Amino acid sequence: MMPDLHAGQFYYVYAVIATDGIPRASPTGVGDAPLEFVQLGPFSAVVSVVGPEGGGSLRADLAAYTETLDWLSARTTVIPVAFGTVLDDAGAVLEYVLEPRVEQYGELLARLEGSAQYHLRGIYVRDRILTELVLSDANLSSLHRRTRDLPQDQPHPELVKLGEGVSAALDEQRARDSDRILSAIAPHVTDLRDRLSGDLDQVFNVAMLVPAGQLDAIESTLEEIAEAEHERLRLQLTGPFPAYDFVGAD
Amino acid sequence: MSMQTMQRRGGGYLERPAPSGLADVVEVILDKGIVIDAYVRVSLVGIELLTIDARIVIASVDTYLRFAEATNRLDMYAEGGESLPDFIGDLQEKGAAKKSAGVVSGAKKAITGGGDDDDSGDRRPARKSASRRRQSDDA
Repeated sequence: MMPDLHAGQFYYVYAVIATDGIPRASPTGVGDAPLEFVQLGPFSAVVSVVGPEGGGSLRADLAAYTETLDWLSARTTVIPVAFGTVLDDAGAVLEYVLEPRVEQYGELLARLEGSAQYHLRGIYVRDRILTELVLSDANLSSLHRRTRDLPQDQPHPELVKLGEGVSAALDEQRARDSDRILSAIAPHVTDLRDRLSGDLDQVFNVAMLVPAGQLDAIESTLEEIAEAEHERLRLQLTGPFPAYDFVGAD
Repeated sequence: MSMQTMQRRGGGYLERPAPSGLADVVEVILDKGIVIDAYVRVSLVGIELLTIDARIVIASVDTYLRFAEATNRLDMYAEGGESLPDFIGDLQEKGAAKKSAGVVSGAKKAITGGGDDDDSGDRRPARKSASRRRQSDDA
């Protein structure tokens, strides 16, 4: 157990790690406070003391949080706790972070060990994909011909129809392209999750859980696809990140 | 755990941007990680969870007009342009990939180890997918 905190002090919680993975040296976290570890048997929560006034600016806190998670991830397997989690004291960390999920943490750490998260984004070359869609669909082509000289900001029924049709065709195209590209890398990843998306040009935006030995295979598979299709879409791979997307609810 | 270095390859078509700037950092961690119930968390001024209301954007007339506008800004039938069949001929889908609800659902069948999106504890028997499809039309 940790010593009690002074009045008006709280614990900022970063992550859960295996107790035998606690690093010897520790950097500072939010507000430059040194990292501490609240232990419950094989699992430990990584925390630091934060005062009633919080850390620094949002920008500084974000940087401190991600740097802390990166630092930990370079040394041990890490289950990130959501940014901005502050609890009263070590007792609360035990009660609300560690105890309720003891069984889950063992499985999660085993699953994440040796792996890292990468993000893969597919982005259409907009003009090219729209042209593709319109030219390959007789109905859209004729709508396009009929509406191209109308004022484009007026809700003319045929314009709305064209937009609706293009939007639906794009959805189907997205599903096909996503399935094809993601299936090609699927043999090399442990898990795959959708990330936030919604951009018109986006093919997909996914997080991948990648075992250490598989990155080369993924990169060369993606390079082949990116080269073959570079006129119609771009592929962007970022990472490694701590496994932020693979520890919470889907 | 050994992390791979950030920049592994130089040129090439696969982009490997390094995350930089606040927006990238926020995008990475937004709404992610183990979430502790709000009623036991301490609210401090200036410290807050970054969450977003991920509601599905309802397709509206405005949305469709945006699509139409983007489409009609193109000059697809310009004189002397590429012939249409040539232009899209090589793009036609060969495999009959089926439409899937979430983009990852189809690809998940081909993931190694039979992992599914269940991390709540009880392990269902891994469904072995007999056919690991590999349908990239690598040229």
